[in-house]
Amino acid sequence: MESKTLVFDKVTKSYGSLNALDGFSAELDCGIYGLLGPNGSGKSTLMKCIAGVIRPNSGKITYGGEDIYSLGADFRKVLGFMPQDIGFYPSFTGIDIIKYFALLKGLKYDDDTARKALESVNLGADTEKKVGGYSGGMKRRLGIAVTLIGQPEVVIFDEPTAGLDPEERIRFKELIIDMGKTRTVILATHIISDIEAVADYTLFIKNGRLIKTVTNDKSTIFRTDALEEMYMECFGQGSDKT
Amino acid sequence: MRTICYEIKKLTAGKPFIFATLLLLAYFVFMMFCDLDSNMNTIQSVDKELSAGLTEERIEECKAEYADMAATKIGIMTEEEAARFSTLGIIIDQDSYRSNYKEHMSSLAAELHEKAKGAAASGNAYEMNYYKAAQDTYNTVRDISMINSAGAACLFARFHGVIAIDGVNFNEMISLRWGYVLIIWAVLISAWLLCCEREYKTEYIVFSSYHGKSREFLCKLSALALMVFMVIFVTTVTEIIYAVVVYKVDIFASIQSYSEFELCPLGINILAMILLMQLMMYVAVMFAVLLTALFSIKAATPVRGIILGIIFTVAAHTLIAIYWNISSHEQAEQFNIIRMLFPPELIHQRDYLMSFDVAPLFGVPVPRFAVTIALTLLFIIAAAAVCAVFYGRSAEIRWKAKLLSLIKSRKATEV
Repeated sequence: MESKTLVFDKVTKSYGSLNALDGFSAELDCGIYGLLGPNGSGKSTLMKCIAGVIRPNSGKITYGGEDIYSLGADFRKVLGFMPQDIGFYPSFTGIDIIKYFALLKGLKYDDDTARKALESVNLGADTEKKVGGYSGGMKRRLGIAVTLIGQPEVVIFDEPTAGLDPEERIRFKELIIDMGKTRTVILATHIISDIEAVADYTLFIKNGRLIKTVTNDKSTIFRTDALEEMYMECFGQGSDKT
Repeated sequence: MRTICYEIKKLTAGKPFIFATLLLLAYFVFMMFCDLDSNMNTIQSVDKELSAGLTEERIEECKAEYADMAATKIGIMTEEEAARFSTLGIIIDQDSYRSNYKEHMSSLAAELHEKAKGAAASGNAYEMNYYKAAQDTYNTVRDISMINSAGAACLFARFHGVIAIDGVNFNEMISLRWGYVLIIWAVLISAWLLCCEREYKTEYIVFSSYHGKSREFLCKLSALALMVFMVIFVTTVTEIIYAVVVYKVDIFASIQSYSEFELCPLGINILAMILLMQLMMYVAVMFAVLLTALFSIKAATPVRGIILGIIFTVAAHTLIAIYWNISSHEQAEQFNIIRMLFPPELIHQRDYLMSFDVAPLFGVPVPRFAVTIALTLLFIIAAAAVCAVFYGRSAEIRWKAKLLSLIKSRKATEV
């Protein structure tokens, strides 16, 4: 799979007087990128900008050298986005959801393909069940399945493991590590251990700016609590003085 | 098509749709079975009074009463427009008209219509005066004719002016009409469908999908168009059944066989008239849907679309009420031109078919029906295009990028 570079060039997004993103610049190639930052640091805004749901006030986001908003649907075709607050149409069954979102992604899934997609997130036993009856964890798993429809080149996960049981979290991490070999995966979460376990790079965001990028060499740097220490160093009490 | 099916599934499973449709159904049942009786009774009582239950002497008295009323009307009209009529070469003999009012008015309307057509063909500057005079006369004939037939009048009465408050000038505005109920239903369901992604928390995942913007909107629009069509289809079938079974109307008879429509310019039968009316209703409702869609662009909840959609519909109706209450001829004419621009007028189908309603457009007399339909269709296409571009929180500017790249490549080729 061809992987292109996702480039952020001084991206700024304001809500009134509040700068959610303030000149954010970064270059993301193939790999898994963990976004770390306190609440309100601009992680979700950044992901929504990539997903084309909102537009930056200034700056540019390019993919393969082309502006993602000019690419429009062509960029969305290679994008998978799982937002933090995700829900589904309660009257649809699991299979309906997969088939419907496959159509939205320009693909036609038959029942077997949809079933396989659900089995990949351990929802094989609930394919005919209405989504209204799914638990929070099941909905997140369904969200993961929907995000991965069509094998997108750029995958964005916002708090994907919230509400998942330990077994599902392990399964999800394995899935992400596998995906990160050939794709650009952006993962935002407050669970630092998740990033420690899967991310190739960690981006520290504060007040809408990229303040630190760490390359995660899991064999040496990533000992237990190493990332937590860095987090506290960046965002803990007294960090503003540095 | 599959996406449209999913949109219909989303729509029909939503509580707002169920609630709005139950209300629509309740009103329909009320209209068909409760109000129908009162309409029937009213019209039948007039009919009886005129033809069955009373003596010849009483019938003549009634006719004389109506003739007096009509003559008073023509007298006022004559006084007000004497100069214009004399310019047109029409001299009204009031005494003669009093004795055989309807026939005189019919022939006068026909004469004026012919003169108007002749004047239009020859480029006569007075052509619009002829049309206006023909229109006034024709509509007076219609008013007089209304009392003579029950069957077809009932067909309309069922859907128009069902709950009227007597003694209030704006009674037509206060009237709860089937067309407006249908429009409100359409506004409710369309506002909800266009904003349901927020409700179900699927908006980000949908709007970030390949077909999640323009095409998604068009699928939603198609689903709404299909739902409106289904409702109108059901009401049409019901209406035809009622016309045949309850009113014993010969649906294949010419529309002119009913005295209300004897001067109707359309050479169609009752069945075609019903279908035409429902088509007009469909266009009017789709206008409301697109209006709501425009108001729902980037809206977080359906509330804005619902409120503005309904307000605009009422605003159009309010203008009509003002028009009805204007005494000045010139102002009334100006308002007539304005109101013809409002697509919700299409739910007043009776006016189109029973009135000789022509308005000037760029100096050319055009039937209001044609103008309104054309304007509505133009609006629907334009609104659909705008919504398709802006649906999904941020504008789809792919077309702009493509246009720019096309211009760049052309420039490069030229160089």
